[in-house]
Amino acid sequence: MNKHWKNIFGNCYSLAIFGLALTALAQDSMEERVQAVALELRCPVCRGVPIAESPSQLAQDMMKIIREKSAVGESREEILDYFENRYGEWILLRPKPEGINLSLWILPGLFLIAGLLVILKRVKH
Amino acid sequence: MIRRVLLLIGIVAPIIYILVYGLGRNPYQLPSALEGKKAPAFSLESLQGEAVRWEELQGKPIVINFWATWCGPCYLEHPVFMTAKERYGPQVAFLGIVYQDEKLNVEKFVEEFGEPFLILFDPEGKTAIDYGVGGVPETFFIDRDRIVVEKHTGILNEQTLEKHIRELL
Repeated sequence: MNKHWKNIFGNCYSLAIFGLALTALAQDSMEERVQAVALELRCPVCRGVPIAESPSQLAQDMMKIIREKSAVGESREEILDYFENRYGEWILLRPKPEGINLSLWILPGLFLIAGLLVILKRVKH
Repeated sequence: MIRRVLLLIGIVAPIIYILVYGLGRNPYQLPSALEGKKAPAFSLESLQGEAVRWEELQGKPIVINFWATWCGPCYLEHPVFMTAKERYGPQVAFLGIVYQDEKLNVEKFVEEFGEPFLILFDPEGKTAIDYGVGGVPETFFIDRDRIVVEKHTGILNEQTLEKHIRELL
């Protein structure tokens, strides 16, 4: 009988430890996701930094919202959309590659190519 | 020679245009993504401890001022709201949502300077974030259809407040 109860206790204990470990891993994973999203959002107070690195109260409030939304399963895109709908595209540290923003991606490449062509032309002469 | 000059102008002119456009903007003015859209609903507690729900505010246009007792410009625009409330109180609902502040401070402030609007507390800043607030004071002008007509960042003077209110009526 003692051995029987010991087995039950041992199994329950193992399950509990396993459950705790899984919870800790899930929380770490969720916090990583939260931090990743927070690094993509600009702090409205300390404009040059993401909210993940800003000490302002507003940034901390925004972090809380990201955590709440992550906890209920909202995706990165949904959370970013939430803030963009309220603050405008400005709040995104990485502008969306659409419309005039495409110039940010295309122009440097064009200038590089133009520069190389100029250099090649001069070298040929 | 002419080709080189034209090429130079073609490259330099857009860069100068972008610089002039960018440097001409006010860096403290956050663009509002809410203008033209439905104002976010909320349910907040008033200074008197009553729950105030968005649905209860039907019928009148609304002016929402996000403010705080620690905010210097908020002190300066306080009398402007007092005057506006006297003039337009029956026609417009004035709400003052407290931003990152303590109830005790607000009570002392109101005792000394008066209460120009229905004061509401937003302890976790969720309503402020819902409205895209980046700091105080910021004022939102909302029409009867609950559309955000205008967002004003910074101190409001009597003239500007009057102008925006007239646009709502």
